[in-house]
Amino acid sequence: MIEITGVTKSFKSLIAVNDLSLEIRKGEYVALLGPNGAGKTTLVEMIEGLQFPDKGQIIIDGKSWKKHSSFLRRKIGISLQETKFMDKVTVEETIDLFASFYKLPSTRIQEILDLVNLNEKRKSFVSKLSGGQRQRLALGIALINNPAILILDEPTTGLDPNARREIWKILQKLKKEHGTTLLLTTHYMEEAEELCDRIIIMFEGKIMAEGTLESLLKLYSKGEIIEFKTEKPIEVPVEQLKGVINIKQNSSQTEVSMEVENITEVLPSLINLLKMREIPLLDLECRRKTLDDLFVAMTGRRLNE
Amino acid sequence: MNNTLLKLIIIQIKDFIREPEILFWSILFPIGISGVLGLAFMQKEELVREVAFVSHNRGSVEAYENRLNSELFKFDKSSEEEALLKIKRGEIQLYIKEDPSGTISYHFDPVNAEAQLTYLMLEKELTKEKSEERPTVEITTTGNRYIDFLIPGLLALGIMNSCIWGIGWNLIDSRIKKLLRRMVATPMKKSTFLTAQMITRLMVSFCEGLILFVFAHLFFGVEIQGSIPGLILIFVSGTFAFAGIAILISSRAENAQVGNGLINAIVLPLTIVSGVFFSYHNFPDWIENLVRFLPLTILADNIRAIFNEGASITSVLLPSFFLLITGFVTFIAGLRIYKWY
Repeated sequence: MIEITGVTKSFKSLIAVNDLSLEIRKGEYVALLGPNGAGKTTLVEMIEGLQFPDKGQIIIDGKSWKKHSSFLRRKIGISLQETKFMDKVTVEETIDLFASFYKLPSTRIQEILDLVNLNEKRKSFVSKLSGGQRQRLALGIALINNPAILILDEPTTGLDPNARREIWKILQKLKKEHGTTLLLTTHYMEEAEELCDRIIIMFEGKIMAEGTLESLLKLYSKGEIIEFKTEKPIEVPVEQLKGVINIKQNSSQTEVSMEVENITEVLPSLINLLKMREIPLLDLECRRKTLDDLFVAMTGRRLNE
Repeated sequence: MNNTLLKLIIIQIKDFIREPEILFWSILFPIGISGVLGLAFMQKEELVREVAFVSHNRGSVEAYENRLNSELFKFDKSSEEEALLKIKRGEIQLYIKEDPSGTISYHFDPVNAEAQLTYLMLEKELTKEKSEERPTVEITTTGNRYIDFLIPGLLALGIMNSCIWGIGWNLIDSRIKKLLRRMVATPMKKSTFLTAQMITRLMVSFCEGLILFVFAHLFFGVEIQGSIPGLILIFVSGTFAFAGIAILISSRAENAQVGNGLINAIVLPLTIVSGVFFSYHNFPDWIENLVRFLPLTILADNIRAIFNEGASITSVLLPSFFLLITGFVTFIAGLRIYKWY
């Protein structure tokens, strides 16, 4: 559906997207994950035809922006980062205006209001909407032309978990009912995990890793994480426990982060060891490795920095 | 196509009238100004001219006051320092100094028109040798009062502000809010979008102008003596000119400060020099020649000619053409460098 080959885009001395290639299949939900400044927005805006690559090409549904922009405009739906609509115009009027850009009948307004669950707010001014409602309006407008391809730039940034979930629900429904192709950028790994078939991690204008969440975690690093805090220095050779891959601790030896093969194997022996030495635990956390751990291991930075 | 255009116009008008401050600035403010200025200059009572009198001779102030026997002047006995200070503060325009021998001299700034007038009036009164008085006739008929000068100027100013703020600021604001790129990222045609802006402004300025005119007509009896079609022509051309200028102004600005500064940098000088509130004929010749060709001047002068001189449509053809060209050139130039995304 979307084929990107060797695309480069720079602004003055900064190379935002660096010789990047990528293919997105029909019906696939793809997340573009990366910290701020990774080049996600630039890449996405080139796919949306709002910016043009210095080098390389972008083909969508077999067509390019140069020759078929009006065809592609009808084919894709977009939501930009932080778009603000006119303040003193109601939700309904805003949708109606955009529907008229696509020559759609006014009946489309009701469908969109239902789809993004804004029926109760139809007569409210845009300025009176909450952050989540605004994002849903932006999503509704992205969906107005029933697009085959949906491109969302940080659709849930700054929203609380509930509002975020609501957007996810709408997107999951779309996948089921319409087979839409989705590309979204985010720096929330839960979002990528929850919604997308494939995750692409972008850093400094390049694709650093891609695949399903499972395959990424398996491929790039094994193991699970045990983290704990103690009241006094542990002074025990925890790294000699069976199944420990790697260990990090602070200088006073009260905070430890262990990378282990399997939590269920290591945890009992760890607890036993601490009990024997009479070291009280203050805090204990066991978890699977996340994309964030993976990302920190690869770049030394956190995703949502 | 037409549906989109219509919807865009309706949305813009709604967005406009739902903003109470905008209504205040675009309708009540001009009416207020015309009301206040109109009244201030209409009921111009014979004003008493205050003159400082510097003299050490006993009783001479009173003597002069008696000689004048006029309600036109008020003499203040002051020291020379006080008199100079008052001139600096603009409290008086002129002072009279009498030396011990009794001869008087007038002290004033020769380029200050008001001071000159005071001087001439004083001279006339003091050297009253009853040179034969020629009659004076007061002109207060419609078309010759200050309010008649002011209203067409305010109409022209209204068109400029409506276009430059209404289109220019609106577009810059849409760009800042990323609304512009969101709209352009649809199949909507850019030309439809800009046409909608222009038609909206035509309608808004027409209503604003009409309200101001009706007020001036009812309150001050201001009349349109010349050609109505001519007025419409110059009005439409003026709107087109300023719409083009607004599009050029808004073509690149990406933040509020730059946008605001840019608009003010254009609007303020034009408002001051273009003969909206006072005639530009008092400027030095070279400035006057420059000012004459500014779009706001052309618009104000021609609306004024239609209102007060009964000008016909043929006399506004050339200026209208000039305004249309201005609009066209700035519009094309703006589009060339326009930053949509």
